[in-house]
Amino acid sequence: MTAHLPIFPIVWPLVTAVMLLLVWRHNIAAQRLASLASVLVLLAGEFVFMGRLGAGEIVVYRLGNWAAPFGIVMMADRLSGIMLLLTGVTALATLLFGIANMDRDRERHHFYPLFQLLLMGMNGAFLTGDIFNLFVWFEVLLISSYGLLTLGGEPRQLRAGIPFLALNLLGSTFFLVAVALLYGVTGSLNMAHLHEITRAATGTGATMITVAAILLLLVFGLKAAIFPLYFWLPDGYPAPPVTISAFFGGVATKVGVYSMMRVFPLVFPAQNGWLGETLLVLGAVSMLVGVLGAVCQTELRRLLSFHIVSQIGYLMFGLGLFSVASVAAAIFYMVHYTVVKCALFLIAGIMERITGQNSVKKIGGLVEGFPLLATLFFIAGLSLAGLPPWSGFFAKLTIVMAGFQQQRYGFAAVAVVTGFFTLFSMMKIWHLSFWGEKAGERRPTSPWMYGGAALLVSFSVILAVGAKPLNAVAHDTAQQVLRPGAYVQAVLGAPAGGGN
Amino acid sequence: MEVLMAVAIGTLFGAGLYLCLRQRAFHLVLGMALWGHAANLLILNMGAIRKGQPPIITDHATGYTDPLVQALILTAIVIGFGVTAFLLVLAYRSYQANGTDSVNISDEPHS
Repeated sequence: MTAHLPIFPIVWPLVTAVMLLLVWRHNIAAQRLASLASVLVLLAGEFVFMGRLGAGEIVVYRLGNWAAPFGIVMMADRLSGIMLLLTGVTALATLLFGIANMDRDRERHHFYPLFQLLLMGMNGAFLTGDIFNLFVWFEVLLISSYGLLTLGGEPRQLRAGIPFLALNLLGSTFFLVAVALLYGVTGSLNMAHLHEITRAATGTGATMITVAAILLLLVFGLKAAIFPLYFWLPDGYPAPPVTISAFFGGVATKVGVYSMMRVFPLVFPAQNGWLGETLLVLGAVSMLVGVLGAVCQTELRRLLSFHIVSQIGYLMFGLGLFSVASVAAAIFYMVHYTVVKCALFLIAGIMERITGQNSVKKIGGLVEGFPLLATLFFIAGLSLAGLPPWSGFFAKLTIVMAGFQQQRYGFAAVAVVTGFFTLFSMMKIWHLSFWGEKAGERRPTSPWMYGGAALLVSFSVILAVGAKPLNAVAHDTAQQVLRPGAYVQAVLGAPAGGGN
Repeated sequence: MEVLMAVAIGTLFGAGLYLCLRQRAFHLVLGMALWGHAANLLILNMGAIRKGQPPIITDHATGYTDPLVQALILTAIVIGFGVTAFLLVLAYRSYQANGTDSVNISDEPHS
């Protein structure tokens, strides 16, 4: 049974989604309960799995027991394990919130099955070791996210849906073209096998591989919303209900970042030099553009969406330096910021629910009567801005330190300045909405909504308290990611049939 | 043959781009479909075109043509078909709800 653990995070949400559709189609209470229970079981499975991965094991699962590189392999190392757990925790918090906040119509029209299918697509993307298969998982998660984004069909959602869909279709086309070029030059789609071939490529072959690298940078950049491919995000993410935009804002863009971390060191070892430089520049511009965009927004979730762009910039900074210290910092940052960003979206959802308003200017005086909400926002907001002692401080510190180590002072300075502006815009929300004159209505909320937000905020506090040991884990993870020798050997070196 | 295919791929990409820049949802759908075809043709070409060769190696075969590209294209076609269908429905719903099939995203003042 444990031999099949690598595909459990993919099969389990699929089984759940089918059960939700077939068995509990008309019973919303059962759908809620089953979704929650399913995510809990998923998390338990992922914990067990992470136990193996955390010890340094690289798990290879050969689908249909075809020998690599001919069949499709599923692969998991520490990075995959971290992403799986992160997605699971975020999904649990979002579901807790969604049960209380999602409206009846959307629940009845398959919110829960779509959510499970989105989880399946993400987990698949984190686990695959085959580049065409990665494309397929991207499509699985994209099709579910199209459904979730436009679920309910409000005019604003539809307006945001078409550009979102069109851009992602464009991204998929580029992905296909990149895969075609790679396959044409190398004759392989297995990422470990590609690593061996692209390293030795010369002449026209190397040029084609470079073109494929540029195309994949575009594709993953579009998913991750880095400058200049971010413009769909601030329009798209605030459009659906809070539950959905929180999950998108927390995890969806990270699939792009994960793919960069996985594919660039593995498939394009010869191109890492200029890819890194490009990521550094794009990351720095993303940080500034995103945060400056956020500073002048007043709509809560639109403001937070702009922050996603600037936070992705930090990840690009860490990844672009391509050193063990910097990638470790980026991984720690990614965990911190996924949790905090999703928490902030959920808190914004509670604020919107209480006051019936979505603009910070029309919400006021929330600190009176809602001390728990204020505390949660205070911790998450300061953590996002990077003030000690919260998790964002350790995340930002390690990233800036990695920049200093490699004498990239200019980029490190941009990171610090961005932190300052982030603090400014968080303080703006605090001053306008929590302090000040009482504004907006006061409507009842549900403890489930607080539960979702509090789960994530306490997770962020754990990250801060356990920063040192967790940084060590991130360090080991970065080493595995940047030195794919063991990964390649695990796929190609082991005798066939090891998967079962 | 390869030159002809290259021209066809280029034409499809160009026509698709032209349609996508028209800012109308229906043109966008058509443009996206053309792009999908262009990408699929490119994959087919990347497997190298060999006429009259079997896709499976047998004892008598003197050569073979790459069967994998066809499997890749089949997957891509199925996905592209589903997404295009969804995009069509979405474009129609958006036309009903917003009264226009423009894809201009900044037509709503944000407060």
